[in-house]
Amino acid sequence: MQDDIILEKLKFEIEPLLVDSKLTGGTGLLNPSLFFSNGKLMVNVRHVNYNLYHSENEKVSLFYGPLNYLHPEDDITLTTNNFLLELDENYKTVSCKYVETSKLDVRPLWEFIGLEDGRLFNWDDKMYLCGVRRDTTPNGQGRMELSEITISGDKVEEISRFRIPAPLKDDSYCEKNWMPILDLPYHFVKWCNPIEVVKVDPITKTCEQIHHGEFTPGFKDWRGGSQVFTWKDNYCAVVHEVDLLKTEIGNKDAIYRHRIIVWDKDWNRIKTSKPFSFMDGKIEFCCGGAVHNGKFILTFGFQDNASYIVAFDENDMEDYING
Amino acid sequence: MDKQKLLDYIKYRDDESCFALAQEYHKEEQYAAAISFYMKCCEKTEDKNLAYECMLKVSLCFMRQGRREFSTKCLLQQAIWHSPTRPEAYFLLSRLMEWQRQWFESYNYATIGIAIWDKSVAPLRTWVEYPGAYGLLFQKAISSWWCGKTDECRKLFQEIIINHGNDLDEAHGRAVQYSVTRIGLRKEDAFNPYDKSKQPALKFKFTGSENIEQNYSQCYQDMFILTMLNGKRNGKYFEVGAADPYYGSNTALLEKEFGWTGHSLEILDHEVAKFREHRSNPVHHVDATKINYRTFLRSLNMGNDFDYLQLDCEPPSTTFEILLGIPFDEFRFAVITFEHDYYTDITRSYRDKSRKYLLSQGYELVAADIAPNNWASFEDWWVHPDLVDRETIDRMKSVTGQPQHCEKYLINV
Repeated sequence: MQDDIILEKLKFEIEPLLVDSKLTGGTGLLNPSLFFSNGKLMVNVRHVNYNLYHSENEKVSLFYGPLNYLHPEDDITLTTNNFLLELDENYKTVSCKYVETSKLDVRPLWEFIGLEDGRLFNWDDKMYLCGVRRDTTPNGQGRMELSEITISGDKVEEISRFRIPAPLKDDSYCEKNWMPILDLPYHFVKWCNPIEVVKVDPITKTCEQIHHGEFTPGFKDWRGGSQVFTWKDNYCAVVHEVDLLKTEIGNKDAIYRHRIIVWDKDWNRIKTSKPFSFMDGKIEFCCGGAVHNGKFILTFGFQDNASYIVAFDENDMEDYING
Repeated sequence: MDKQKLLDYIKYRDDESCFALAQEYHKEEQYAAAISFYMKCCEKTEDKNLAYECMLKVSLCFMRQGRREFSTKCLLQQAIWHSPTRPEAYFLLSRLMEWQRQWFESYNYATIGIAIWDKSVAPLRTWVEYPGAYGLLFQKAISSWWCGKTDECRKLFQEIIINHGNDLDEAHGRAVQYSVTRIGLRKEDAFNPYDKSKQPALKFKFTGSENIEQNYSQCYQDMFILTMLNGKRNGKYFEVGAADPYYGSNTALLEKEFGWTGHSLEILDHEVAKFREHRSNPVHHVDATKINYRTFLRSLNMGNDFDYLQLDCEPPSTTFEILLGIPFDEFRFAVITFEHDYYTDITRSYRDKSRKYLLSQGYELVAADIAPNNWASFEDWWVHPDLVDRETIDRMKSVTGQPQHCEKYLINV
């Protein structure tokens, strides 16, 4: 059965999210994350130094197969930086500011540089970006980092950085895509099938597991995703599932699909949408969601190369999730 | 950005809407996004040319981003696999290799492209930086030089000038003009020296010719001047574009052996220094395009009639521009050698323009299309009929419409 393309199923408003190519060199803009901050619609857009080249039907594969990260050939790093956009009520960009991190940056020790897939949110009146950073150890170990940012005038600056340990033994190789729970400061949904909720303490620099649910057979692993936001007294998030594939000659390929999940306040999954893509890309990724003024709004990246914000009618979305 | 293109893509998701959205991103220099949608189009379309065009477009996006030459090359190679008889990918690959100074590869792609290009293929929909029929020839010409195939290079540039001179876009026009001017002719082809052994064969044995051991001009210009003026002694010249004081000089023999005086103009520092060291007559270190010739010639106090005017600068447009600056209403010149460089003039226009102009000033064309060989027409030789003997003019007149080998013109070979 073919997956849904959600923009075919529901009425929507959509805007591309762009950053001037003079600032980016025209490489990928991906995985945007929206957040309403004091009534202003803000979006963090990740910029990378590469293009994702994806020959989805393997008709024009390149040297590493159908899926290639084409970074500059004299620079083996996959480098990320971030831009903070402010949008108006029609989702048009009214300002774009580079997220300055240089005060806290240290010499990278691995090829993946920068804060990747930062989710934007506010806890205790502080604005945060939280994503994965993999440049602090020579083996590329990934940990979620909670970066506090300030916005003043034309400047957006990272002012603190907390590298979150994994819960329990902190011996995993890579932690990524934890979903911040907007209404529960310092809590994340780390994993969705089975669900795992963790709480972090920036003072003691610790992380503890506070909820662990049951695995639901028949479903794949579900990983974040957007932030976890409250919707009609429940928690809601967009998660993804991925099929990692190999071509006949062993080159890697992948297909990402999304689901919208609703939990009650005790983390019981009460609704799960069918898997869908946004715009029929095999690699898409959603890092931001919100419900605002009757709109169910999501931000997503298309093939790591383009970014969009899309708004649906909240009731239409509920009907869609209910199937 | 035209959002309708995005909405059309979402609605139709067909090859056309993918291509239109890709172009929209491309126009905004959002190359990564453009790549995604070109690739979508490439994989969806049944239109073979459109798929090919998308591959080229992706490669152009890589090129604009820079530092992705390997990926660019890989894409273009696939475009060739896809449509091996189309010329565009060969051109882009050859150009890419040229930019990387991979001359043999550049030459290779250009040569193969020329050999198997099916000239009946339909044009692509959009601009892919392929300039047209001369593109591959141009690439082959440029790369052949650096592969050591210098003769082939010259021939290819000639072919471009003759067959495509009027089609060249501005950038290629400039590049072709610059290249042909710089590479010139082979030294052995460009120079036709005269020495005493040839004196018996001179068509017109002017006074004093028997005493000339050797000349200095590239193509017998000095011998022509003396022919038209019957070996005149103590004449006066004005030379624009002096270059070396002896090698290829049209005035060295006049000064050294026939006692002429005159003034030369030269822009290059080292040539001026050498000239001053080795020649008695003065050279002026100036840009010949910046001179008020009326004021300058008056300041020389050499009278209004000169025996010889040389106009020899590059490119042909410059020489013609200088010609227009000479105040022919006030000064007369018995003999003029005008270098129109027809064989390197991509516009093929300055020879005719100069002829029309000099005729209007009362000059008579005596020897047309003088060449150092059998094909490279580069100069016309003129006289003022009031200052040169009519019988000599009639005897030496040769306007054939074909390039004239300079030596064959003056010597009974």
